Amino acid sequence: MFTSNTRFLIGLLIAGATIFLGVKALAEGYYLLVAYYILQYIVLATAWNILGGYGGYVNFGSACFFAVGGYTTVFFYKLLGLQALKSLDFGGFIITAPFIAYLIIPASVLMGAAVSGLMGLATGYLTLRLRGVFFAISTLALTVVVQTLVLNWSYVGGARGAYVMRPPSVAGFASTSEFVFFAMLLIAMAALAIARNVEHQKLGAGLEAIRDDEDSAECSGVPTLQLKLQATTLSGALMGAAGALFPYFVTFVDPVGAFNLVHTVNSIAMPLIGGMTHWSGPLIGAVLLGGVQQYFGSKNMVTPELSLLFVGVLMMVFVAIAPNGILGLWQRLRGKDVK
Amino acid sequence: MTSPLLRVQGMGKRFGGFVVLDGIDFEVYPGERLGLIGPNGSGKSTTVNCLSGVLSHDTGQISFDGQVLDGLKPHQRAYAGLARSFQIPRPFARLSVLKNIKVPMMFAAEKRSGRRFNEAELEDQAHQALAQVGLLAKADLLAGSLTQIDLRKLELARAIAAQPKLLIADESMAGLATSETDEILALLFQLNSQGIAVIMIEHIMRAVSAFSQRLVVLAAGKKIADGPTQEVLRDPLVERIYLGD
Repeated sequence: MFTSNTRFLIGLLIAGATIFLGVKALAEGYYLLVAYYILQYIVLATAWNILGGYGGYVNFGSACFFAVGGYTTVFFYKLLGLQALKSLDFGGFIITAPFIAYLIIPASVLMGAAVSGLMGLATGYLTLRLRGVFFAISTLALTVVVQTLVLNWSYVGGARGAYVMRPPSVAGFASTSEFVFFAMLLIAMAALAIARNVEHQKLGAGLEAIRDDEDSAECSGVPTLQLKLQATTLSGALMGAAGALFPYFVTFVDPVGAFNLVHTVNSIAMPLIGGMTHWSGPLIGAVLLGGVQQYFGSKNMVTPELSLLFVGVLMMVFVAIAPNGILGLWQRLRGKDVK
Repeated sequence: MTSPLLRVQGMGKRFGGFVVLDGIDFEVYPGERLGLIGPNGSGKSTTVNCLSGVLSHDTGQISFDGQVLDGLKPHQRAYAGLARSFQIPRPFARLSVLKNIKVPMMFAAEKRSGRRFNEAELEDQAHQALAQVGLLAKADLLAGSLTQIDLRKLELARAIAAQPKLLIADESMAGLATSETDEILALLFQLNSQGIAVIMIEHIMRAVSAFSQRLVVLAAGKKIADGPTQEVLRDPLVERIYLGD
């Protein structure tokens, strides 16, 4: 009756609406927090998977792209003096305080995505001649370099960090947090739709060919450098979009939090655990792993360090016994090989 | 006389101080079957790599179908109509056999035809290419699970799927049993009959002499013979290089 694209979109909208209304109905800050973090990881894991899962280029710099998105928000927040903003006047058309969030938060997300996307393009151009482990190391180095720059840049708070005073209320939403959560939900839905689209388009097929054999792909007519640059840009932009919302959600950003290794490790572990060959893999991984982490974190049963250790062990287990993740296991159980 | 499809003039390549190719000249005409032979280390594989753009040559000029290929990337050469198979099969191991064929169709063949194929066309043409090499029944298997002979066939099918004017078959038969060699040979003849020029690089003399209309012989990076197959095989210099004094 419907094409698979329509079915996907309907499913996505229903899921999105259910999550939003569900979290709203629970009316408790805790669930909002948990749901926000899981959505954030859906974006990071999905973004990572576009380059890492389809293209086979392991990016150890997720935290960097995420943090650059966050610091882009901080930078423009300070530059434009948004903390003192009560209303905006566009030649007689006045945007009052409850509506300001509708303008500045989406604008921040777009800016964060643009800056991180450009950084993805630049790093791609500089490093994609490196293959395999060398590319991975260079992205790790990128994180260290950018973090050092931010640490020493007092305008955006340096090592002390920076506060972001968000609009106190947003028209149509119970709280500003709820609005930011809604924005993250939209980004996560967009990320999934983009990943699925990449998978079904030439870009996805080309990236998979690159992953399996780059020279062979070139000789089959795949413009490898061009596709890899598209992937780094797209992946970076999505991570940046997620990062740009972070300051509005937690109201405070510092280098330790923004560049945290947890972002990097999770965005690799989640696709690995869920399955890297399909857009739903990172989603499954993010929901499971993110859910478990939030659950144990909330019970004060584990410290963040212990949680990271747990993720590391889980990753090793999956690499060893189920390299195609939960999706791969599922397909094997049903007697079908991974496509 | 028709103009050559591929013209190689004074092609040279060195790795550090070691001269691998030293001023190679040869031509391939549309629809021709050319054998490229030579002892190990004579520069055959380097020639293939320089022609397909995996390596860039240092001196000389390669022109193909009226276009100078110097400095072009492999994918751009594929767009021009030049396809190659690899000596050691290099499939997209984690993709299905069918998808292995779709990749060159989606990129090289689409670019050459100047339009997007729809899903049905892709499916249809990929099946045709697989049927041609006898891999249709294995379309849904992962390419990494194929046997050697099937991998060789897949290499050829992938090359055909790009709809080339020239196919460079780099040792498509090395390590295969006699009956398998015959299968690949029959395939190459069939492709040629569709108008695709073929350069066969091969050590199996039985196959080369049966296939080639003309032979080019390399030794130590230089071309030492070029002519009709039987004449070249009777050439005392070629005999000495192949069989020793």
